[in-house]
Amino acid sequence: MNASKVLDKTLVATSERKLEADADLAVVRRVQAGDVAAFDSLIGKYRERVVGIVYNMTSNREDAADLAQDAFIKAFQSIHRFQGQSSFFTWLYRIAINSTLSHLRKNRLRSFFSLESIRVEDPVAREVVEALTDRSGVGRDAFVRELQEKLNEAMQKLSINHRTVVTLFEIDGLSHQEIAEVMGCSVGTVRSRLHYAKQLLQAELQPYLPK
Amino acid sequence: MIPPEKRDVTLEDLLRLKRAERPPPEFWAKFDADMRAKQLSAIVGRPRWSGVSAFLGLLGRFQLPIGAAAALALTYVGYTRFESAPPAPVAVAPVRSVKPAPAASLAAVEKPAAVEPKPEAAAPVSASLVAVVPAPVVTATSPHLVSVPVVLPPAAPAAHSPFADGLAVTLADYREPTAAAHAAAFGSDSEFEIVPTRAAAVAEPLARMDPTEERRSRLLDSSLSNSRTMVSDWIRNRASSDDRMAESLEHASDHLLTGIRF
Repeated sequence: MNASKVLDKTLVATSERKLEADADLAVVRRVQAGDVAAFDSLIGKYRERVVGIVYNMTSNREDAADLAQDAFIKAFQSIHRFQGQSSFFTWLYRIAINSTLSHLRKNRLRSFFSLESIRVEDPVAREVVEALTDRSGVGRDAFVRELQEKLNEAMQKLSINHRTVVTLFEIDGLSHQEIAEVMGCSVGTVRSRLHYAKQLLQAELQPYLPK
Repeated sequence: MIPPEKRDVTLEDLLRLKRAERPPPEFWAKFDADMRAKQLSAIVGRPRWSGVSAFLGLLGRFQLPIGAAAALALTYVGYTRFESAPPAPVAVAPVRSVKPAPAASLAAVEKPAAVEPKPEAAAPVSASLVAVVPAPVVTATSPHLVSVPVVLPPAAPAAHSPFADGLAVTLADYREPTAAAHAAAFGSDSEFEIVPTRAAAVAEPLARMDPTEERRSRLLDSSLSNSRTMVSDWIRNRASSDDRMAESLEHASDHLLTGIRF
């Protein structure tokens, strides 16, 4: 992905995020006014993304579900302290990532992988899988499974901060600025971490990449 | 392994595969049920004392700073109260005290600058304006000793320290065994005696009293009463013993006289 694509993605993401942030703020105001049921709409809107982030950081489905639920509960309990200075999803992501980082630091030596299956019907995944395997499809499932395991192993070899940056940028599609807000660091730090993490992943996944 | 003609995939393409990792639909059903249960427990199940326990937990993290701050505050409060407390007013009674020689003056030792007895200070002075030096009062009957009440001018509250009183008492206690030195300095051991007193308020009858006579009479009274008791007991015992001996002799002689009949 070259620089122009990154810039376009960032700009589009920024405008979309602005609209989302305004809509989320209106819902948050309703929750703060006492409409507790309105928080369910925020859960339904962000549950897949929050679970996806936590899952890509932990590589464990059960941990991802628990940590995502805890993040929503914490956000619900402290919703009255949200003042709208940042977008709701940035605030929610920060809660989820902090919970995940705390969990990973506590269970540094414990790692159980429970991988989700890759949905080949997804257009992006299908394109990548077809590019990597024979068009006849012989042994495609086994190859996808092997590639998935290698991807998770390479991700788990990264440090927690590098893994978080790669997850937020490459998988969830956040911009550098949004990642900096979520992680509480500078944009330069985000770029540095992203560059270093990609170098490590490149080295780990070299058998699957062109020279 | 990937065939050579298929090696046109980038790292970003591989990472996009991660986006396609999605849980099955039943996962979301369970997730929603668990989420609802946790949300309800968060709404209902929060005890009222959770805030108190959280506050105590927060305090527990700062035990050392809080304890140090409390100790510092107590020290400061105690110091300020101690410093600002006015000296206790002492009722001034006409004291027949003696200004000893400079070598033996305890008042001069404890407050060399403050103890300056003035002749005009012998007049009655208001109790709230004066402070009496707790110097050891030397009572005596000798004519060369002058009756001078030791009266200080009103001192500033900060200049008066209770430590000085304690020091004077300690010095008086320390110097009490050296009465022989005082006797040598004043010439006679029997004429006067040092009586250290903590407060200078001495009543007039007590000041005129000769402590040696009182002590002698008290000691002699107790000793004589004891000796009298002992002598009377001894005499009583001895008399009873003599009586018993006389009776036994008489009894024996009666038996002897009646037993030997010629």
